[in-house]
Amino acid sequence: MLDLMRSDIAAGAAESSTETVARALAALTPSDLVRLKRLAQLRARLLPGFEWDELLNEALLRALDGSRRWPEGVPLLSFISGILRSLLDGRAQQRRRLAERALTASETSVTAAPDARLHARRCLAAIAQFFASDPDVLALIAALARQYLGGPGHPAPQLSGKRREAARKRLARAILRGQLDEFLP
Amino acid sequence: MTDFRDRPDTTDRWRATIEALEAVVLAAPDKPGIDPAEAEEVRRLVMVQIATRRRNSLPSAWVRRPGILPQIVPDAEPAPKATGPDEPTPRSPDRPVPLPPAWHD
Repeated sequence: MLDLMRSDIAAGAAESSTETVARALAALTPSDLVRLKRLAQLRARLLPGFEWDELLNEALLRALDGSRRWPEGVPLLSFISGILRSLLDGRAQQRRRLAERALTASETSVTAAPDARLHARRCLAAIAQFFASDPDVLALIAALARQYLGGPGHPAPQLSGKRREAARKRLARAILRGQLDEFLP
Repeated sequence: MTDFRDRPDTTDRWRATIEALEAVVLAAPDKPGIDPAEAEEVRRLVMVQIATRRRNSLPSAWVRRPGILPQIVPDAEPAPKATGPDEPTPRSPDRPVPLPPAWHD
């Protein structure tokens, strides 16, 4: 895996950060480019109707115009992934505000966005169905997701080191080959 | 067994799942066997953005502005006629030999 760090690229102190990003992006391997696409596809799944290429284009624009700085020591793909996350959060907030304003205008009671909940439920069900024959992968997803949820919850099932690694490989393969994305609604 | 579809708000769980899957993608080792067409599709997208950024960051003097035509000054001296089919056209003695560009050496 290409692990481009900003310090690897920034040879001259005078070189602009945006040119550093441009060079690093131009040097991405085919494998990293596909990884970039998968990251954008996954992130775009959070907002129904949002296209991955639109999201990635916008993220690249932010990275290249200097409005987002590439921090020292952060791999390029993690940097772009962070931009994808904040862009999508911004869009989601914007969409929520618009929906709330529309509901307030029509004097209907505001409950949580039902479309987003339905979409999330469908996606979670699709993942459960996709890996139905592989409980280790489902357990791994549950364990990893738990780290991002925070707070008390059900303890995630524990896998032994070897099983966990094997499950991680199978999961990575399914994502990188695009099989999971094709399966999601 | 704990189901990852259990409890908290569905949208929060879906978001956490996406974070988890992204972490797996970022940590995955470089594997051969990716679709080159897919990689090329993303490369094109990246290169277009890079080219756009580089064009936009050129000094304004380097960019021809729309509506401004380059000024064409007519030659004061008429072009000399060819003296024969095999002979090269002699250079006018009044016209100085042009210097090579500054970056030539």
